Amino acid sequence: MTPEFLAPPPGFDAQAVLDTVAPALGLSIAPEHRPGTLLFLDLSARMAQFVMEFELADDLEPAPVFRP
Amino acid sequence: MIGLTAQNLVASIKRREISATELTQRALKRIEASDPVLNAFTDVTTERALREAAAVDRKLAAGDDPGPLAGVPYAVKNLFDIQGLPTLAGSKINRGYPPARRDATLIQRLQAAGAVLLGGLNMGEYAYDFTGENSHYGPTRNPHDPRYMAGGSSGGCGAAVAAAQVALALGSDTNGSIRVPSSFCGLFGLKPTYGRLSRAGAFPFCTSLDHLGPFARSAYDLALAYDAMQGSDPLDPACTTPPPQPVFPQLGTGLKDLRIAVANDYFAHGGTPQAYAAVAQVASALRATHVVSLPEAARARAAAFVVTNCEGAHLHLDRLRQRAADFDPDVRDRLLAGALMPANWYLQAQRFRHWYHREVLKVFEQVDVVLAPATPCSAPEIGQKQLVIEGVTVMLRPNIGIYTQPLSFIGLPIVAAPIQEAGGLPIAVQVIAAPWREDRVLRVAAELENQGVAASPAVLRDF
Repeated sequence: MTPEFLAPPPGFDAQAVLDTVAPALGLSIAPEHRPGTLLFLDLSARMAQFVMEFELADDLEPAPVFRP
Repeated sequence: MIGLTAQNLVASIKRREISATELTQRALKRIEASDPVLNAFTDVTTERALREAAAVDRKLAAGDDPGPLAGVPYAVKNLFDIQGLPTLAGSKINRGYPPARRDATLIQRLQAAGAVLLGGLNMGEYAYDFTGENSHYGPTRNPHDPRYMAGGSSGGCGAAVAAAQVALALGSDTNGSIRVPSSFCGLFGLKPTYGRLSRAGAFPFCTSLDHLGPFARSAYDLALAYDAMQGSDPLDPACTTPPPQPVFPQLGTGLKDLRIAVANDYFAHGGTPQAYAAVAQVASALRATHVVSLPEAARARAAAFVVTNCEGAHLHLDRLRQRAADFDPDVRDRLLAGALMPANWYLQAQRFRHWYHREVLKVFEQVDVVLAPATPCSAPEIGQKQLVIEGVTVMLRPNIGIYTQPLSFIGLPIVAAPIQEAGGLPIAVQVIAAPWREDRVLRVAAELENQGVAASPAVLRDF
């Protein structure tokens, strides 16, 4: 499924996230980098929402390393 | 001679039909003549190559075993540490870093097997790329038609092997960066199980997703290189400790014991007819009539996207703070976005990953090998930004990896097997197995090569 067709999280505001989180990380985003950053933040939000909608049991742990 | 497979080159060298030094000189000439167009190399290690070749020739003259890859010319994606060179990882920033003090583990292992290193290869910046384009070093061009992309992020690997500048290359694959260039350039590429081959001395991208592996023009060559590189390594915390399991001796022994199926649902949508035709051709040759569904593959792809965006951004946070303007614009804005991602998105993706892994392992209780397209299309033109799929125009970059991402996400071993198109551009099929079964995917790829279904003839024309 292409990300353009996924829905972002309800009420998600990429500009507000950028303006709040970037200073907290000591990240100064130049005006010329802002439109691209917002575009990709919106794309990530759509992807993330699709994953967040999936119900997982409480005991399902993260699994960054795999064993057969 | 330079268009021969690694296996045949070794045989020629051992029969003294050509010396390793002569072969190296021919490969260097091929690079000199073709690279102004292809732009596959960022560094050519001429002196080192001639020194390594001379060592092989000395061993042969003394009657010693020169190794299973004696004299085979190879090159590595420039995220591998090459002693004495800065490890670029496709970036401008890293060019200012100190030179590597030692070779990456996999280079050390290939050198011990007798292979000859010819240099570092161009790549998409910091491996966050499927195109092979790079704003600092220029795009790598596809040897089948230089107007087209080589694929990424291991674009130099794809072009160098396809154009017979080298017989083997080493690349990395976080979401498809070995399999995509293999598809666009018509090569065999192996992404082993996560944790199988050491990543020590390779510049990382996303530690929980990064794999290294070989490219070649034959499945037999992939197995030779893979066997030479296996083994644990305390320098890579993700590298596992089982003893090496050589695969090369198992090739060509038939596939009667294997249950092979085609992935449907997610993997039967979003691609061009050429992608599906290639899978059908491979399935027919293998008499694979069963289909299987990998549950929630679309969500797995989205979760891989999230994990990549977050881990990649975290790795580069200091560089983004201090030198954002020095990044490739196509990479920088995605990393900046990833740095702003809420932690809950990342953790949900990692927990989903565990669920998905368990479900896919159940599929592998029913079948041994699964087939799927490698890319939705053959190589796009350099500079292309959009792709038309099933009549709908979509962004190109986020869609090149739709079939590769859900599989590397859970570390499965995969060979990209190339299908040549008469008069057109090649495309590859993914041959997928359960974790730690590289033997199965390489056996299937070798069978397809033996039948003439999958093939990777060198592009030998002048550029």
